[in-house]
Amino acid sequence: MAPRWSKVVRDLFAYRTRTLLVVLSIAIGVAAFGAILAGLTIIRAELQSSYLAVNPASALITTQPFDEVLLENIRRLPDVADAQGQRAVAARAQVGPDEWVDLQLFVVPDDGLMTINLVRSETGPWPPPDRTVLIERASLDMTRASVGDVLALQLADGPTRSVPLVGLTHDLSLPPAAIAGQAFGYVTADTLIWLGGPADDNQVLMTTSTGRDDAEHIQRVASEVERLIERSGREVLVIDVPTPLQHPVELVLGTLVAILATLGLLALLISGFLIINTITAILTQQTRQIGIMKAIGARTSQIMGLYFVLAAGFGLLALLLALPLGMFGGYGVALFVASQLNVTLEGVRWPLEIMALQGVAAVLVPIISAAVPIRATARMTVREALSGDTTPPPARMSLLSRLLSAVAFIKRPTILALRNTFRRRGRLVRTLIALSLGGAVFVSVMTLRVSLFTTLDDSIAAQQYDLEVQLARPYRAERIMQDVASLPEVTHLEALVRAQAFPVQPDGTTAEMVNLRALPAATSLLAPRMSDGYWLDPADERSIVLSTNYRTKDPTVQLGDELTLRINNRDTTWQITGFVEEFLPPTTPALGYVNLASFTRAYGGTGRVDALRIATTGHDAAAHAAATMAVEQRLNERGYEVRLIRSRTEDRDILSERFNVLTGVLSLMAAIIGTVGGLGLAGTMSINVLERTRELGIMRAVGASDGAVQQMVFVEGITIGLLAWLIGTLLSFPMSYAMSYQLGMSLLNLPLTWTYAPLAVVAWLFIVLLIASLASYLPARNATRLTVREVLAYE
Amino acid sequence: MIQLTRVIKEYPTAAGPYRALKGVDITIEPGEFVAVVGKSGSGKSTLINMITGIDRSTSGTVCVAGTDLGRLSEGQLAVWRGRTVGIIFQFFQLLPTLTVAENVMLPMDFGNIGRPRERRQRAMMLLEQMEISEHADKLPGALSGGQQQRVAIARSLANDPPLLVADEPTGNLDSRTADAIFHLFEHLVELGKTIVMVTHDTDLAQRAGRSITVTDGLIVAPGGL
Repeated sequence: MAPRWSKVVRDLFAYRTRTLLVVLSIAIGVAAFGAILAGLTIIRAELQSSYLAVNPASALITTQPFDEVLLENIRRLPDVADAQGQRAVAARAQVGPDEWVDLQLFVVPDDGLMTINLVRSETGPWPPPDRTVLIERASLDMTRASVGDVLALQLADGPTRSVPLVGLTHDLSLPPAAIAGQAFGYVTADTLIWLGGPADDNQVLMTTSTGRDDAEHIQRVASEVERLIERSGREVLVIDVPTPLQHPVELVLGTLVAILATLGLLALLISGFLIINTITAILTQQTRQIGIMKAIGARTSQIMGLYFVLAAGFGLLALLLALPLGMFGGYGVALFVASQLNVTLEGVRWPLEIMALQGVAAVLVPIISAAVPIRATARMTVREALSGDTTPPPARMSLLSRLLSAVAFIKRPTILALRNTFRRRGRLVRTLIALSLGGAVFVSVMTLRVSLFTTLDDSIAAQQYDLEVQLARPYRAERIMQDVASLPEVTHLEALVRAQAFPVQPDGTTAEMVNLRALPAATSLLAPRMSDGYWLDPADERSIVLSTNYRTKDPTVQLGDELTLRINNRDTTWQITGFVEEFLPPTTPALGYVNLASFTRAYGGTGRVDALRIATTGHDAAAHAAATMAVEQRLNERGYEVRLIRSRTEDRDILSERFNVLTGVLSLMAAIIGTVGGLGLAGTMSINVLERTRELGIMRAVGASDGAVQQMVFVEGITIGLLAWLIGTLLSFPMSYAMSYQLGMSLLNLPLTWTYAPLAVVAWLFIVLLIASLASYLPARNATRLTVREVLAYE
Repeated sequence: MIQLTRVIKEYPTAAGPYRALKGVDITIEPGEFVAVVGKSGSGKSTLINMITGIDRSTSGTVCVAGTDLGRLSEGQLAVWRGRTVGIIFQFFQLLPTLTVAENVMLPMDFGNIGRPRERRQRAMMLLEQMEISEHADKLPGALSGGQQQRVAIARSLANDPPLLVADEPTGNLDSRTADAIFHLFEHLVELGKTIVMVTHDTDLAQRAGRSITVTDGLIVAPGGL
């Protein structure tokens, strides 16, 4: 090997601590970046392949009960690849003495054979034996049951039956129970009839032969199917064309990808700053060597080549660490996200493209980071380089030094340490950027977490009722309100109608369902948080207020637009007068509020309601449970059929569970970025001590004790840590605000209620002090271990 | 071989420009062994820097081995220096992570002179001439000061330059070793090399072919000219 390349190789291994620091700085950045990308690549690929494997329906058409003949006719239509009947029924499962959860029951064909939206049996028999139930595996926690237990199930207007839970399924066509906010179960047709449900199918699942990824094409084919169904004398209630070949949770995944990719790049950026620091220190230490090489004939380009190869060498060494760390980390991220999204990772897959990207990043990041210091040092004249010291000693004291010297009570070593902190300003700035960014991300992520829950609480607080009772069928409002109002737990109540409405599009087809709430316009049990327009006015006959997430479904919608809603095949046109902030993920149907009186005039059923909103005397979980029990008992006594009673505390639990993946992954990223920042401080401290070895030797020669030397190193480390804490805290205000806005808009289509987390600032202070102490400990110990003779001979 | 004409060198300082060389004229013929003497701060090193192209003059011309150094770019100067001048420093200045042989091969490597195997052979030959070939594969840190200076001399001869410039080559050595190094220089002059040597040692200076005394940036005793 040519001597200059021998020098590069030996320089890599001669100064092990320094090499280790650079390698770790690069490796952590590249590993974090790789882990995030690998995790998301693995999960995306798995989600896609698993989802395609279930042969997802191109469209779901809800109609009146039908038989096999209709399905046969649908299958014969041009471009219909397959059609399958399905019956889905709303039910509830008992999870406590007076606690129920929503459960959607699907009917499994008697022979268990399905061709669309395939359901995989995980444990237990398939199809389930009569009078037993299978539960979708991600719903099991929600039912608080285990396989072998007996579940109490109840259809909307049926009896409560004890149904053995005999096994689990995996249904990838459904969003996970936590995200959907309800559990999913599977029974046979006979079981459903025994539970009091209908016998025939009412949903057509269909796939197209061509253009399975083309929503417009699918919509056209679905319209043909609609016409055929209508010709058979049945009404088509809903046509749902989900985003083609895309799992329902991929929408949420997009936000996660954007945030994590940004954090991954940030980790690389921070690592870049640390590399600049270390490479600059190496170049400073080797300035004289560079001078010698130039003196014996090396050109600037040759010197630059040498140090670029050295930087790339650091990168390649880091890659040895970063590749396995990134891939295993990525697999961990994928496993975690998969568990949250109800996806099974089939086999181990190592994404080669991400490994290649890691390789490029590991080599390019140090080269790019080091480019400026390498260029500056290599371009020094031979005379400058031979003189060695790149920063001549200051000719006069800085303002800070003069101020420090004027303060009598500060001890000399402390003054020296504080002065030292500001000696290498470029290095200090880069260290501060790295550590401050780490802190800002940490505080921002914590703020994001708090903001998510504040937004949730605000949304829940807007519901000024404690319980919502959903009835199995409409009842006379006046009577039921009288029956419930007399309960001591009830302070106030309102009656309303819940309905599923379908926006009618210009071509006559229907868009995604809107959950309609028809309530008194002058409601006192809802404090709507208007984002645009105004709330319902009792005088407005045809006004509707929509939740802001409607805008993600129809981005062109404007205030004042007209919206035709189809309910039970009756169309009525409403004018949009406002948008209200509701805590609804994009996958959840939008909410629409209309005046109760207008609603009954448009769709009939005057004086009848199917839901109650109740304010209770107590507002905590125990009071809610007690009130739920009392209300249910009263309604049962008086002969009302209750479908579901849900309290505000239960609502909050369900909603907060939806954000666990997000906050979990974000916290992990904050920890990684904090570690990279901490490593930066450790690197800086060790470089500072290394560079001042001669100076420390002189101090020890004139009598500085171990304690004084250690104190100097510690004070410097702590000062940098405190400065980084301060800057990070200031930076976290705009950063967390921007993150809250962005996350809110992409996830809920409304900015989160930004709630700064002061506790996170305090926690970060302790973490920073710990990092600074740890980062200073080794350099401080090394500084006192050297003998005076050694340090004065140091070069 | 070396022709300096009205060379002035100024450095900017906080107190205004400092003139290190105040219009120096020197001529050195090929094969000469010239000692440059003077007190600390007199301008000796600045003069050497002018001759080696390590620094540029503020005015005047520096012509070495037929090349006007003022006309060369930094890159061209590096190539020129690699082929024309061998530099020997007071503190030897060997690269600590390279072996003795690799240190000697380095100028050939940068100058792209000879094939890799030939470079090693030449380095070994030079080390043998300096009587330290048995240390070829050791790191400089394992060698004594005198041995390191021999390596530095071998390195300066690597590209067979016609001119050797030594800045206090014996300043860091004991008198016996210094004497041995001086003998080596005398031998190299016999072989046709031109040597310019900066020294504090007046005895050594007297043993050179001629000596030039620099005082306050001026040549006060151009000895022999």
